[in-house]
Amino acid sequence: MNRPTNFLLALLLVGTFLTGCMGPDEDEQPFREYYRPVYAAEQLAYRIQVQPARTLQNPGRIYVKDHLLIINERFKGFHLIDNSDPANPQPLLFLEVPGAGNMAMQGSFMYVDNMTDLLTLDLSNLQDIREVNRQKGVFDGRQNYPPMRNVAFECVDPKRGVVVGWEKADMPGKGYECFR
Amino acid sequence: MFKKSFYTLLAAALLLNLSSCEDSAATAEVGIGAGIGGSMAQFTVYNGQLYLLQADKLHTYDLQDPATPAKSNSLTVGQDAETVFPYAGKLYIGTQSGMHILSLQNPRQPQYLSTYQHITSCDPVVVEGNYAYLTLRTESECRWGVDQLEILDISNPQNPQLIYQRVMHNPKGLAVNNGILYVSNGDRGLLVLDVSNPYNPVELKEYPDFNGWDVIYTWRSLMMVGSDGLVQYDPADPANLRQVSVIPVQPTL
Repeated sequence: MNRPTNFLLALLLVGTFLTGCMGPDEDEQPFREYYRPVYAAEQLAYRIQVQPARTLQNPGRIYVKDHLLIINERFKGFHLIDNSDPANPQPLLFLEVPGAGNMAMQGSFMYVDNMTDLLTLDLSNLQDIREVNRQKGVFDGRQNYPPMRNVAFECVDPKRGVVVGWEKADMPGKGYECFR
Repeated sequence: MFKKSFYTLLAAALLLNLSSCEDSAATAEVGIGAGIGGSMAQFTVYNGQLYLLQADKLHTYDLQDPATPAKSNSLTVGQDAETVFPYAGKLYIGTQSGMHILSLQNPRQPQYLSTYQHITSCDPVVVEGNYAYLTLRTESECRWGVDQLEILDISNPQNPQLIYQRVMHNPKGLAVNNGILYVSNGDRGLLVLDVSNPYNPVELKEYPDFNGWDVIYTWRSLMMVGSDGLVQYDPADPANLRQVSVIPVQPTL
């Protein structure tokens, strides 16, 4: 007599939790966040390029070395900024490093991740930035799914290149095919 | 007469001061030593070593020749290690299940000291003096975790003790300097707390104008990065930070 009541109570409790979790109108779409792969052409994925300064789009980690301020553009590279005057930061250049999300410096050497490789870049002359060391296979690189869990995403299409990262996007009206 | 020489002296002092922090205007020169990362960093350079997190490992590279990092060690620190913060001869590793403290007595070979475990969430950690400050956040509202700030007494690094916790709104990266804690708080921007008594932090002010993901403190500038861009504050008065510049996000259409 008692047991079924308890069971029902438990079921009710679980049910309450579940609905609280998914929200009232999301029965069909339990995932709130949707991600889209960022692609790079395979032959370009391991090429570092110095480009003119550009605007921030999806800023990630930041790093300060003396008066140099570095802002990671997620999965794409680094904005280098002269921050001698914090009231008037001066963009210097954009360092394109496919897949990059991390950086640290010792002296004028900058260590960054480029897909699966650990790179050492010499910044002693910003007009002539050089790749001085490359250690292959240090990192796992990007998978065919986003690193976040409980998300839906646009399925990877290998024809479009290699995945260098993931960016947030609006949930498509037709729903999603891939999720984790 | 006195006035004139006073001003000459003042001018000379100013000039000296200027030349001592000289930077050519067009190119930010970089000197010796390591730079400063945010609390979300997965790479850090400390005492001539490069430490980096990769999957469940902490790799150590010796930078005796900084142009050629030489791998000296690889230590398993467990799944979901997310952030690394160096302080006073130790490394603090933020993972999804807790914070590890590693000794750098031998900088080339970090040694495991202890773990402070907490519920599953994501946590960067920063340290000042005998206290570690960490934020826990839930990535998705469906997790059963909490969003909170925790302060640990780490005077015994073998046995960190929780001394304070406070519920927060989706806190992310943080920075601490001289008893002032700067917490980037997602859409709520930046929260500044006086933690000179870490058992009883006092909220100084909230700066809600810019989305906050991580912060770096330097005496010249408090920088916060988030989905709106990079905002810099003059940190002179933490209770009344003065915004000095913004590098905005400008999505391409």
